[in-house]
Amino acid sequence: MSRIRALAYITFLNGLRRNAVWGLCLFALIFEISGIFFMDFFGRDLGRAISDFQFSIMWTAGMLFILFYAVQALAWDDDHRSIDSILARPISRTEYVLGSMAGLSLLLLCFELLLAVLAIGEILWIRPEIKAVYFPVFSIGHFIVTWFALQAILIAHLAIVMLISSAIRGAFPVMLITLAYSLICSGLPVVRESVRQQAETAAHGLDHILQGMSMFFPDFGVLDLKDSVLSMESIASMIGMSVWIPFGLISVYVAVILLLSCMIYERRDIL
Amino acid sequence: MLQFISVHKTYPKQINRSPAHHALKGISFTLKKKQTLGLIGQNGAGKSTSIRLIMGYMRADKGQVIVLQHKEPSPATRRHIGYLPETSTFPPNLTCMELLRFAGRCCNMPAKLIAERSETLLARLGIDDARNRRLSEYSKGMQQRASFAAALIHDPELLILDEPMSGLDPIGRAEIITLIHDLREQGKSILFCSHLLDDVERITDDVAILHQGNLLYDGSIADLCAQQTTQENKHASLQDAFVSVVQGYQP
Repeated sequence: MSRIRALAYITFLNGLRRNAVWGLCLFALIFEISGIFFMDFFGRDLGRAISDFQFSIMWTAGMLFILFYAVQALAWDDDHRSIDSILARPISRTEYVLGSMAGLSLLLLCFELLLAVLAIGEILWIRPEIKAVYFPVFSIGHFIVTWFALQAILIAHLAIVMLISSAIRGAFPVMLITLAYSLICSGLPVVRESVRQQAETAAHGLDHILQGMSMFFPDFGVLDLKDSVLSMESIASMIGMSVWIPFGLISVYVAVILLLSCMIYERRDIL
Repeated sequence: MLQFISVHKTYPKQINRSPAHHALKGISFTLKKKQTLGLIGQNGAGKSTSIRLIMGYMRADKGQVIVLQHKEPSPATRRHIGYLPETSTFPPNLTCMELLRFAGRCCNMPAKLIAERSETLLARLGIDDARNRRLSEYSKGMQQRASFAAALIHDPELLILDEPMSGLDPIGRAEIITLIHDLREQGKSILFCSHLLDDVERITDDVAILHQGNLLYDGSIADLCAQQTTQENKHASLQDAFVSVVQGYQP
């Protein structure tokens, strides 16, 4: 555990000192603030628009971090042979995967936390400025739960980056496959729904195949809880246990993906 | 300390890249306790492959690599190995002190001991003034020294030095040679891998010559040179002996 912690710490520290990460953070913050200037364009749904806008910025910034920093950071170790210097210590490959994952996750969470604080501040500042009819409900507690759900999606993507990086060398192919994974995850539920609607005529086999695929390409839509921040019904529904099930499932999913990454990494030759 | 027994390693064919390459063809050699062995050979001879097998970065296809009585190199064996890679690259935004703390923590060293060892090593290697500068700002020679410090922080029994002189100026080279001599006197076992045969001759008593994945010679430098002594060349150097052995090789 101390070795995982030591590796996570240097991964975090190394990322924290990268200008590119701070540049991305700065741009995301600027975009978040720019939401204020556009609030006059939205009529009745102002609260929803502002909240959705903030979560969209956080999601986009998180994905950019994963695709353009996390992927590069892992490939850098391989390409520049710094992996030789790291694994010269008594660190197992499993510890390397878990330490890198922990360091990158911590960096991502700090980055997202900064954006979340600004988003909450902005929403709390805007709300009293406008009539209650345009922004009737807002729950900080549910904003936080929704933020955690967003982070769960991003961490799952980061775990996929670890899995692909453990099997393939080079940043570009890893980035492309991760992007394809993300697109399949968002498209698969739509395809499943379409196939289900034609279930009377189409073979059930295809539906089963798609269901099987969703084990690897999960429907992250169930963790999209943005509505819960703004409506009384959604807030009430969150009190039930059903909303917590996706959190449990995504945790198991991340654990399985990391286990697979460790198994692949343990077996591969570091050339 | 270290034993290669009929080790074979083949790099598989890669798509759109080079064909399969038989890098090691059943080589056997031993590094005894307190021995300093020079592993020499041309580019592609199999030196780096041998080192990667010792470090457990790769696995042998056939044969055995025994490191510190362990039948397979593992993270636990690396606790007793100090490895200086050929290219010293680290996460670029760390400082030398952070690197040394990381190396020490991985070996479960207490913070106080890490600080003491760091002081000694940084002073000895002449980079104590640059301890808090980022490694990306270091020159190649300074990075090599930082890498040396990280390899020695946990006081290992076995040292694997892959081209330790690369990137060093003549003064730096002389300092490193003195340091390696000191480590020899402390009773460390050293596997020294270099193209610079003058350095190998100055540092080691024994050599193993690798050529195209085959072991052509394993023994003392004095015996090798004596074997190559002719009437025309009465004082054959390691360089002469190496060239003669490699040129005389018939697959």
